[in-house]
Amino acid sequence: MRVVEQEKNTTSLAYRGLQALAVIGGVFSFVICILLIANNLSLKSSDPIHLKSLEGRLEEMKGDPQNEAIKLQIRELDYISRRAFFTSQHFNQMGIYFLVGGLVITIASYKTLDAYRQAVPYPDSSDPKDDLIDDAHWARKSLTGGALVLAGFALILALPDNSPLDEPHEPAKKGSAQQTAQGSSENKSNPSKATPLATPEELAKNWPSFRGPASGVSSSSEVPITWDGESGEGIAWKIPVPLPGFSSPILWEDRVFLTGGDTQSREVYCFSTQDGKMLWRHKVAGIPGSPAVAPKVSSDTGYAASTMTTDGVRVFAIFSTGDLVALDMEGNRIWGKNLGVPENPYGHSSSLICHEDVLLIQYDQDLEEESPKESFVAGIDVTTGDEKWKVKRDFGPSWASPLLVNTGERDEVILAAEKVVSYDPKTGKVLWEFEWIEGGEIAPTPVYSDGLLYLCCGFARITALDIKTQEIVWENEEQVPGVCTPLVTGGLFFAGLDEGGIVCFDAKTGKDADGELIELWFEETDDGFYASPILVGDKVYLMDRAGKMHIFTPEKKFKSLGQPILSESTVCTPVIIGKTIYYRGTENLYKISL
Amino acid sequence: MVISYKFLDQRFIKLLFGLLILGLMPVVQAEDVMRFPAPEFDSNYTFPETWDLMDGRGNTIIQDTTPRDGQAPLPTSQTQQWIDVGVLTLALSLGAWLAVKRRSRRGLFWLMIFSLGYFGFYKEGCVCPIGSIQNVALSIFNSSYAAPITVVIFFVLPLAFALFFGRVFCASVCALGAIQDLVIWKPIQLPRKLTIALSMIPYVYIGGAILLAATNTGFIICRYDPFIGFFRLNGNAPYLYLGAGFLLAGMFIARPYCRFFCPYGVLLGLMSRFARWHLAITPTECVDCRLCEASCPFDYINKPNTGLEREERATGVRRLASLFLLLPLLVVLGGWVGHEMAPVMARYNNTVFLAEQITAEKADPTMKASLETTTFRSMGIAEEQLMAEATKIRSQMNMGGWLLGGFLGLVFSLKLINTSLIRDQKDYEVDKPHCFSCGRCCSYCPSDEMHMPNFKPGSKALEEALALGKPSEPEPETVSAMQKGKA
Amino acid sequence: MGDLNGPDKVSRIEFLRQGLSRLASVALGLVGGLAAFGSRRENTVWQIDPAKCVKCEHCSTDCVVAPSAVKCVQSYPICGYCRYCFGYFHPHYDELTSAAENQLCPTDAIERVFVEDPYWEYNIEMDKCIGCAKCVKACEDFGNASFYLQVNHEICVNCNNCSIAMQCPSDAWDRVPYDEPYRLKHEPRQVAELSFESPGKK
Repeated sequence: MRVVEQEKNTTSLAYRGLQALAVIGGVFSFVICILLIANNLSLKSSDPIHLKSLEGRLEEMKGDPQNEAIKLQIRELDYISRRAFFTSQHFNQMGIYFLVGGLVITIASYKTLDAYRQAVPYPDSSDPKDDLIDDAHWARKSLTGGALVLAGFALILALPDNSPLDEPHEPAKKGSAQQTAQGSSENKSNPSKATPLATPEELAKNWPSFRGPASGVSSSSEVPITWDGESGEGIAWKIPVPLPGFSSPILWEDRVFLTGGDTQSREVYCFSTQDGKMLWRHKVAGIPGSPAVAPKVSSDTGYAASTMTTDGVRVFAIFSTGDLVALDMEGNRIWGKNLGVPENPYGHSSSLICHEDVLLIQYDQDLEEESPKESFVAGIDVTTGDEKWKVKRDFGPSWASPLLVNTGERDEVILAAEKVVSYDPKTGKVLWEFEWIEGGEIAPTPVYSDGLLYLCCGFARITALDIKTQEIVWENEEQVPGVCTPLVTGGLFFAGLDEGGIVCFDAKTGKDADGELIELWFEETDDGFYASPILVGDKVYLMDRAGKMHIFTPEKKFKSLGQPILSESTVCTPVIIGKTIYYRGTENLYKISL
Repeated sequence: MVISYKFLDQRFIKLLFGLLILGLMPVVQAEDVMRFPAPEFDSNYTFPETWDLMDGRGNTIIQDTTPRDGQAPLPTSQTQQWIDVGVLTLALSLGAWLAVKRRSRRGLFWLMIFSLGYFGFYKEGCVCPIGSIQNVALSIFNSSYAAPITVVIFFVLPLAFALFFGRVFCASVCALGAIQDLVIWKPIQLPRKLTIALSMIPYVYIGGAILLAATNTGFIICRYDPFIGFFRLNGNAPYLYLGAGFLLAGMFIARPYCRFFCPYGVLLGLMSRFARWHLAITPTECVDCRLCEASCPFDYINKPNTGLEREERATGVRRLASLFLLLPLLVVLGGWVGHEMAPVMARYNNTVFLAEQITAEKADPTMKASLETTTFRSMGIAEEQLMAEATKIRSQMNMGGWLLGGFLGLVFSLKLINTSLIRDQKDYEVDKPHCFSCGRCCSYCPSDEMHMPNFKPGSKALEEALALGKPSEPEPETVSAMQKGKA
Repeated sequence: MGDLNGPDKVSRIEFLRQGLSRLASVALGLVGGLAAFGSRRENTVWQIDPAKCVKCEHCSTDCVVAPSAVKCVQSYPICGYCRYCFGYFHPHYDELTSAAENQLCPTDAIERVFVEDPYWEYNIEMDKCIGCAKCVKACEDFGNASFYLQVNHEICVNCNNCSIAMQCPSDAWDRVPYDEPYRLKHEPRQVAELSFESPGKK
């Protein structure tokens, strides 16, 4: 102590009192502080959110709901724990007031004591013979010591530290190695660029995309009209599909392709038409930009809603994750890319389609949320996966698929959404636009027949549009299919409605015989329709969601030709080719043959 | 009319069907839609307004269901900010006047008490210039963040005052300093060997804080503010422990946070070094009476060194030269250490941490997915985007690590040079870069005629003290004997 | 030791000192100016974006204020006034009563008031709510998502760097302008299409 207190004051009563006050205040603060620390430690264990004892009792109650004793115990426990929790928090709140109060008393009395003490300063008793040389010497030494401790501490922390980001981890390495190996083996086996494209005749003989090569018209004339899923009558084979999917099958020569997916993985399957044997399955993984976990989608869109397509050499598949892959016929990946996780309230469902060597993709997304996402249509080089062209679309999501049309003058690819836009499939040039519906949820693919384009938007309207002038020929707001893509044949328009019922309109005018703007006929059905009708010879085949095939004549009066049934529900449009129907149920793939 | 009726009908069927399905199927996450239709009340029920259900203190008012405009509780008034700026300016000005002109410890003490009340307990310790370093750093380096202008003023003002009047902020305005100053009880003199080694810490702290703030990683100064719990009157865990620890230590080691941690002190020191009107121990000429020698509980008084033995000039010059040569080497070495630390610091960043977790979980499928990775996966953001972001932050941190390490290397070598450069010190003077301008020493100076609470002019005590302080002092034995007698 | 004593050396040192002093003021001006240039006049406060919130419980455990400044808020126009409220009743409830074993809320912070058959009103008692988001999660998963979390600015001390925001796994916390301190759900939203109209297959 280098300050001497003046004795005379230290004996006074006030001095003693202040001294006592300071000591009491100090001890009080210290005790409160200890109590607060203890309280904080106990608070951790009295967290009411995860009260083990209570959770256990609740489990017990689940097993024995009549036991009133358990209930009473729960109530008591609940009350006690809550009271303890809030009391502890209250104590924290009050305790700090006491602590600060105690500190104020201590400090105030101590500072007042200072005034009594009238301290007189004295220099240090020992003469500090400062040694400058020694001092500087020591300063340097301890500075260096301090710096070394710091650096050492940093290095002890840093050197053994290995961030998983520093080097690619093992599986990734393996994955990429596999991929390249796969790629090179493919390139050997796969005659990618050299192979000529499939001819129109070849395409017509097969079923290369959603609703076949001719917009819902099958090349075959005679297929079964009776079968029975229960007894197996008429069913050539039935094979389970590993992962669920709402994509329809496609067919090329002796192979049927389809996709399936869930949150964990997305796969492409190839089945033999002969016996239904799975020839290969390809797991879509390791694509750059693909999300680690699939985005949320609606349960009745799923992760594999878009139907595949093929150019005769490659098959193409797209999933709700935005992954787009091209595989050769043996299931080796030729290329794969991620188009960006689609922002879509239900999940991406637009199907793929090929025009010559261009793969067309309608990628409409929800633009309402603030996100860097954009809707676009793209033409992709089938051999490399590179974009040949890409056109931005500045409107919201849609679920329809692109339609290829030859108007006699030119090829057009028509995309239905809020705005109907026609593009040149080779360059992406916008040919025409038509403002159709604002904010509609458009799922049915547009249909072209005899100069007219038929557009459907569930809950809104059917619009028949002159494709040359973009003038509305007729419109109807009733009996509108919401999912099913209509079939237009022989001047008649057929569609199945979501909530059930088959409807037929006059395709040219939309009017009935009396000139009223109303359907020609409406046939009630028990179940709704998601699949699209297919014309086979002089019969229309339309599958409802329960798995019942409605076969009827394409005429101005409804005439049923049969309602064969399978025991499995479906939303997929079948492949009808030769004498055979390939049909995907929720779990199995069927071949129904004469 | 038929049309609209049918339309409704379709909808209704759908709704019914939908409800049925809902009952049977697992529910799909649909965040922006209502699963249950709004009720159609028969009674005269009206919605209570959200937030109207409670008053400011959290009491519910539920009996009253008459519709009123809901008023959510608002944050502290905006004009309050400018009042704070005004109070800060006034307090700094008053502090400067009290320290430099009036030399009044008493005045500074009461100003300090006021500041503790206002900036500490009333403003709950926020906004404070110490924390504002981070806002300024983030604002400068990150375009997505803009610091409020009042916060920038809080950052600049005390520094500007320090540039002219010394660290008057520390003496009388800083609430953190005030609370520590009050608890000083029996300050011990720490050996210089220790204090000089500890003097590197504030540089590490400020460098780290700027780096972490600039990369939008976090505000460590605020996170480890030891006294914020007291100011908020909130006895919750981490702050309570820190605060109680510092106050307890502060009874014996005067203002430990200010001296050995405060990052803002580094900047204030840089400024106050050049202060033209700094608080001085003596208003006139120093008589070297040694009375003030022990007055500073922080050991920030430089003693005269004339007449002490010095090193040979040649040795000194040689040492200096070698230290100057060592400087670039130390800078590079420090930079290397900082760069090695970069990945560790980067892990403090949420994005990098998440990216590392994701990668680790991928590498080891048996690992249990953490809350963060599960959440990230559910958000549907491309992993590449995260990895790119993480790589960006890591490379920023790497760069920052080099800079921070280099800076610390520079500070270290300058400190080495500084300790080897012994300047002539004729009188007792305050250590300008460090002195808090608390004014304690002023009342120990016998030359100050205005402020001598310790001595009445001509008193015996003064005479004795002056006699003791004279260069021709009595023998040490006599002094200790005298002191024994007095005590 | 460097003996730097000498008449001209003193002035040289003084010159150096002045230079450095000017440098310090310029540096201070530069940093201050740079920060002021990018600054905003308005202060900001912390708020939760209910659209991003994943109801992880960090809000109840990480706030520097205890109980947390984060509270559940009920939006009446969105609420379905269900008799069986998913946010109110524990999934393993025994009866639809307010007995402790039937309640989901760990602190009994939701009040259930009968309005008319079959509607019940649910009110949050802010002083009991600890922001654990159990009811928010249940209401969003199974109901109309009328419960959601918000920072109550009466309680929030607006830390320079919010300690919950530091822990938030979904970036749901951010600084919002002082003038709009809440993200309230006021407007009733459209009744769900119940995802019945599936775009899944055409």
